[in-house]
Amino acid sequence: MSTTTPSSLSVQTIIGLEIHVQLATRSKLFCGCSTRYGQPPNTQTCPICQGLPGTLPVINSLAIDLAIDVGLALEMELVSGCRWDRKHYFYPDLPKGYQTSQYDLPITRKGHLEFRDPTNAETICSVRINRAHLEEDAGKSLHGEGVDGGTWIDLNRTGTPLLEIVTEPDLRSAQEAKAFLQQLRTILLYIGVSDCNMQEGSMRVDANVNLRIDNNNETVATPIVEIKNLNSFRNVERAIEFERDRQLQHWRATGERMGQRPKQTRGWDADREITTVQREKEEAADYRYFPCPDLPPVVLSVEQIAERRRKLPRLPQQWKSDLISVWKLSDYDASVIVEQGRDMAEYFEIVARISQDGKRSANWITQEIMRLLNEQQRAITQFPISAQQMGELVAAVAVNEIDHARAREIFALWLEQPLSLGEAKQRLGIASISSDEVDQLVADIVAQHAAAIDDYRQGKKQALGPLIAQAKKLNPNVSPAKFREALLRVVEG
Amino acid sequence: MTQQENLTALELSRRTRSGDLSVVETTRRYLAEVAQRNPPLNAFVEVWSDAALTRAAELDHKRAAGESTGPLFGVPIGLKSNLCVTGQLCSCASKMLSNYRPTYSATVCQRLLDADAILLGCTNMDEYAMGSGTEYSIYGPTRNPHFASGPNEVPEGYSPGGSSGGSAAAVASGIVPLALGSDTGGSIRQPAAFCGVYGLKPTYGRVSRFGLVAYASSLDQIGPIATTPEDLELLFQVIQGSDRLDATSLSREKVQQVEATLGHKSLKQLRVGIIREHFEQDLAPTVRRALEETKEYLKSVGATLVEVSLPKQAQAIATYYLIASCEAASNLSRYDGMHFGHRAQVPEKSATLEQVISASRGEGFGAEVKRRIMLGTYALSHGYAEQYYQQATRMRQAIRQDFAAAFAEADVLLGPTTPAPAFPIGAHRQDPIAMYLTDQFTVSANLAGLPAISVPIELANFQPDESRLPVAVQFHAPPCGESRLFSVANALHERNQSAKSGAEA
Repeated sequence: MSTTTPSSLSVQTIIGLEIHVQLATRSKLFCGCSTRYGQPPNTQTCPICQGLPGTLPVINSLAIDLAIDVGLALEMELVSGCRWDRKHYFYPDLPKGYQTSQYDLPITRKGHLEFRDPTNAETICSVRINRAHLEEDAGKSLHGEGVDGGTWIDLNRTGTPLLEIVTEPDLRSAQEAKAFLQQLRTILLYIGVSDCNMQEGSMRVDANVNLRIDNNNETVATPIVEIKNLNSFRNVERAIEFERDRQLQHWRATGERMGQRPKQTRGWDADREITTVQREKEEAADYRYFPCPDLPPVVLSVEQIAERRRKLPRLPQQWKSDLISVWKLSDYDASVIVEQGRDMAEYFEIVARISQDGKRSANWITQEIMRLLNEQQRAITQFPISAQQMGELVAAVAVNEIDHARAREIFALWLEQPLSLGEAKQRLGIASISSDEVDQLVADIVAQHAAAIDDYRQGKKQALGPLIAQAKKLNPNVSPAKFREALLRVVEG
Repeated sequence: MTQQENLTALELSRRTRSGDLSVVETTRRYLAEVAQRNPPLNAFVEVWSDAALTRAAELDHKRAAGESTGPLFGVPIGLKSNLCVTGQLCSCASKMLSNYRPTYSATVCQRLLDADAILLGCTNMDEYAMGSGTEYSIYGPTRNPHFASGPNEVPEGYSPGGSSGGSAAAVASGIVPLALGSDTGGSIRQPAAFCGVYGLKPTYGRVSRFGLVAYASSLDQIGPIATTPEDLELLFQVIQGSDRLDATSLSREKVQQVEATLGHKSLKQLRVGIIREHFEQDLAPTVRRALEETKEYLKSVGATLVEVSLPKQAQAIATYYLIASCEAASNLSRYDGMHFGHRAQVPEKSATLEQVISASRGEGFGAEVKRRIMLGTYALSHGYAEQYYQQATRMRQAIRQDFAAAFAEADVLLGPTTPAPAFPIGAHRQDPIAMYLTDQFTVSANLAGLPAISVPIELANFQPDESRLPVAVQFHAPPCGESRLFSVANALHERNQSAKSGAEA
């Protein structure tokens, strides 16, 4: 996004992202310990992830499979013979003194991801993915939480498999960065490689940000800043916006350009809404990467890749076009449902399959169900009405067995109690009504409301409204449409 | 000395299995043996009497109950101090791990226990297996049992070699019939040669490294030390085999496939390659005579001798020390005083993290370990890695190819294990490079991942002015060719036995 400032400068924000995604394996990358979140400190560790002398890593093959899935979803090249490298630095929560990662031969590289331009829904943006590589997570330092206020180490997270996805610097605004991340998250959730829970740290973002400034026919770039560990989309957006303004201001004050200062690492202070310096890269460690001698290279066979491709869950784009072509949804409705995630799309598909009415299913879901979920901040998986129940209800409405108003009563009852459709109908006194019964009801109403009938025959068409209401009061099961039809036959016949 | 003095592991296990000897009684005798004979040698650094006797009693019960017995039934074994056994000292002869007791057991140790062996204790070594003399140890040097005293005595005694010097000295002195060592650049074969016993470095990947404290992961192999080739093979068969805990271990199928390709060769069919570059080196006279006598003997039993060339041998030592130091610098990063091991006493409130880590490593590691960590760190640094580490890995590849070419012409390769017999303790104290050169013939097997054996040779006669220190020759075989090495060693063992009786007669 280009901003024209009063002094007629044209400023462009250049953004590249590094996204750490925790892969949804049950055990760690190099040992059998559980990856479950939120357990008491150091209870999910063994000699291997504690880094005890003499222990050796053994690769968790599921992590390889999930990385392949991401590669396939982002249309990346898969690299057979990819290697493991050790990245060395000293820190108490890194028990081996190195992190096992992938340096120059990552498992996947060169892909792209498309998403809708946040400022113009008609435009599709495309961001190039440079690489995605596997690595193990470090432990957690708990500062000031010990009895003596010292630092304690929790190694539960140590060795958890991460996939680091690195984009090219193709993003041009904080809003674009956010939209990209949302689309990436949607895809990762659809293919089930991660729960992408940002609060629990299973998706973490680093943003590399600088500016390209056109100033009197000269283009200058400001030094690149890396903002570390952004743990919500909102923080990504706010941090990039802050950094854009800060860099512009700093450039105005100093004229400092790229190359005149080493790459800086900054942290986002969410409370004060500012970024602060963490370190200058110049003083950063030399990681002394070298191939891990304990792990053979990962050989990906053609068969293995074909197998993963066959098993790869439908991607959001595929879901959307299926919803449009199979269930005749509008582009808009299909997008709304797909963007809610795979659970919602699957919920819709069951409702639609049972009811055989895609449009009505979509209306119930986007209007009733999503409103409630939104109000209660709940996921569709926690919704009390199952997709099967919903399907039966929509089916009953679709074949005019139950009218919409009564269906809403059943829906409301189901939110409170888990009843079958039959039980709910019984509880609410809903029964189907024969045409004889309708005709009898018409006869009764006509007899009781002669004046209104006359008014209608005089041309006061609206005179019938209250009669229909009256009929509904006498028998709540009567369909207003059917009653009106029968009434007109009598009145006009 | 007791009746068991000259028992090999094979004989001992036969007699304990048959009930001729009780395991508890035998273990007691061996424990008494260590107590009496270890002090001047300093081969063992800790003896696990309680665990050994408990285990011995279990084994006696097992036999009495008629249960099946393992191949090492009741045989006491010494373990190099870099092998993990749950709850037992594993110090790597370093101040860094001086009180370290692992919470798990190495795969090889578990296999020994499964084979009904008795783990008698841990043996002295060079710190973190870095050294060739068992001198760089917090426990002080181990003495070579040959001429530890007597007419050829030197003031401090002779070195047993290293880094598995404690294990070699323990076996050579008869304190235990078997011991395990680890060999990264010759650390089993060189001390076996210096102490006059058999030592095998297996093919890389044949023995699980899980539970061996790593020095240089792509070179390290655990291997057996014994007084006879039969015992050596017995121990090797127990510890070898694929392990799902070591991703570099060879699968059973792979080993069988390679072994089938190698086939069986009798001595008459054997082509023995004479490594030109090794024979051309400056060798001590007794070492050269051992080689000549070996050649003569092999010819006499019908083997064919062919000269082979390994052109890149001159680069082997430099290549080895670069790769080993790079891997060591990485492997030893975990010793930061944070989770286990030595932690420097610094005023923590005022000290930075870096100061605590630096002080802990500075105090915990000895000079040779620090030398290699610095060398490795430098060689892997940004801007230098291409020139050193990458260059060394390319040279390693070339050395491998040299061997592949040589094995097209020969079935095993013959050369010296070391340029000279044992040196007096402290001889190389001022000159680490001279110490490194004692490994010049052994490092290549590690770089190429090949099996190699050191075979002691009984010389037919000595010159009056010659020291009677043991001498040895070395054989290399292609990957998974251990059985060729055992059959050559068996033949030479018979020759040694007759040479010995001839000399005595």
